Amino acid sequence: MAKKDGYKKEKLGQSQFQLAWIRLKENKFALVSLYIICAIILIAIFAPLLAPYDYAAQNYDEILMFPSLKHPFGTDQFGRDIFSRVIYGTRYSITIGLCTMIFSCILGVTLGTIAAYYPKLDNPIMRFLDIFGSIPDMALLMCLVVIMGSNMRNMIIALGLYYTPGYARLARAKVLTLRNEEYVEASIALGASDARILLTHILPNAVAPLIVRFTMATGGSILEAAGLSFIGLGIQPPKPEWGLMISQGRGFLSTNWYYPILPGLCIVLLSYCLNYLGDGLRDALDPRLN
Amino acid sequence: MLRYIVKRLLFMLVTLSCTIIFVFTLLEFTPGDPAKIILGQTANEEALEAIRIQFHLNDPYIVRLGRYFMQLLHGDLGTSYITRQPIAGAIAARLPLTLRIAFFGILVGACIGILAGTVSAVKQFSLADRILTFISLFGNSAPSFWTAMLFVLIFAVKLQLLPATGSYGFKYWILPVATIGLQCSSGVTRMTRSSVLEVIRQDYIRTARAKGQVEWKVIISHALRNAFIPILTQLSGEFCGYLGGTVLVESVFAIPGIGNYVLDAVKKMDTPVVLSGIVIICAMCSVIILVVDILYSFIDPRIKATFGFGVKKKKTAKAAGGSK
Repeated sequence: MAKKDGYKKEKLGQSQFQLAWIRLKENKFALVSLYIICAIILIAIFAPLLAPYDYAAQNYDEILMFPSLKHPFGTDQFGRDIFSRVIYGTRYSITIGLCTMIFSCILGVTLGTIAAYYPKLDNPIMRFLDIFGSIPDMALLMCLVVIMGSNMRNMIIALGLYYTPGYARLARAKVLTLRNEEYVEASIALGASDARILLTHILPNAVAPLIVRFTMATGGSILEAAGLSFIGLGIQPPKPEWGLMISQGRGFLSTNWYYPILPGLCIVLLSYCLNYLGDGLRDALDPRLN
Repeated sequence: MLRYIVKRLLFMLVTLSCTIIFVFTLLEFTPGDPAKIILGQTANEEALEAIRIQFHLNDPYIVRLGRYFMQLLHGDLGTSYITRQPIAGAIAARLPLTLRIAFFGILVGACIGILAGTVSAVKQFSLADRILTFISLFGNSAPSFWTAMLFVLIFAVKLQLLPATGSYGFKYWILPVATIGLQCSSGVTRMTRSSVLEVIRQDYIRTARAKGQVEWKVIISHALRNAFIPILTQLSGEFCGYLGGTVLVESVFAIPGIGNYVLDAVKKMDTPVVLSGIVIICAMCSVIILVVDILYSFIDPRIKATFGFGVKKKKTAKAAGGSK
């Protein structure tokens, strides 16, 4: 078994994360997923250099061309090169996915930690988040879009708020168990402040499940963002967002199937890698769960 | 048993009321003048004032909230700003369509998912397990609207077996149900796999095998039954998600369900429709969670044994809430 070899390479004196990295390296597919995600992030950063055409350049001589060497993913109804648009589209998905997760992670972990550490605030915070979390995803997102209007910043805020209760519950559960650990008692006895105990003793030990959730939920938020754009409540045309491109291409499904299907394939690839990496990270960070 | 159900019912009503207040308050922050949304930007001040009086827009927030609750108690969901029609009728016409595809989608997803998850847990690390894990992760990563279009491309455009859009009969349901079923089954497969894997190492499974029980009975009546609670929680969570989330599938297949109705209202800033649509979706969710909570006690008699001691309520509330 590949997994067992990983344990042999573990030595004394290595940190938890070094051990986790060794275990993750044994999981070839997870490593490939990590490389693909890194590649997509690089593509997003260097999009203007990589894209063969301008994403907005219209060329009415080449409308709805099938994929060829000149246009690897074909062209759309305005003669825009879909491949270039897909490359620029990585910017939206990556930005939305990361910003959403950073936003919801910080907010959720703060709320969850406060709820767990100060029992008086536990009920008000968690009940409020329960109510927030009891509204189905699309219903809540649509509601938030009505209030804020649809653009990229508001979409990030709406998605971030939607993912907050999940992080809060996770952080709360983890902090509640860690609070009773002996090393926390010891630091209380030494007179450490609440902030010090939380930041240097509790949170570092709670970070593993948060990393796993962060990875997997990024994939989820990219899907939700594409869905919002698909129904016209997210990124607005003429921007090259993947969900939006699928939406614009749906009318051409019967004649030019590649137009809506290929951008979708990119969403699947990115989200699949994030999910697979999340799975791999979970196994690597917590071998007991395997 | 009855006492427990009544208790849960009251608990549900309190939560639902809080949700309604929350959504109502949230929609208070909608930008723009509702009267202008109703009449258009060019309407004169007198007409606007008349509309404000007709829709009680001048009343303070708390009065309108109270009035909305009174309306709900009378089964009146308000009046649309755009069509000026009662919302209850419109929702009653659309809700069955959404419920039907969500329900059958979940049913298909549950059957496939539980089967696939059990197989992949029993044969852990086998080729079948790897393939099933791959497929379920794929189903998790593919946006539902994209899978829907892929199905349309294959079955409607290329093979011409099934109709692509609309909702006129059995044939029209197959593709939407398959789309939701595929997506739902992937989540259920993963949940079943991890849940069965956890159970299968327990001592009572070894006992069952030691006493000579046939393997399929060990799996079905000993392992699966004990692994079922997280699966059921997952299913109820998926169902709730699809009540709002079918909007993506409805939009591809042009099904006039409740998701499309709310989406239309969102685009036209028709807040009463958005509010009542979301309230109805949340109410359906609460009912589903309640039913699932009661089902728990049939699957796990230990839960039934703790009825009335207050232990149970917290446990299930956490289990139900922890699904998302």
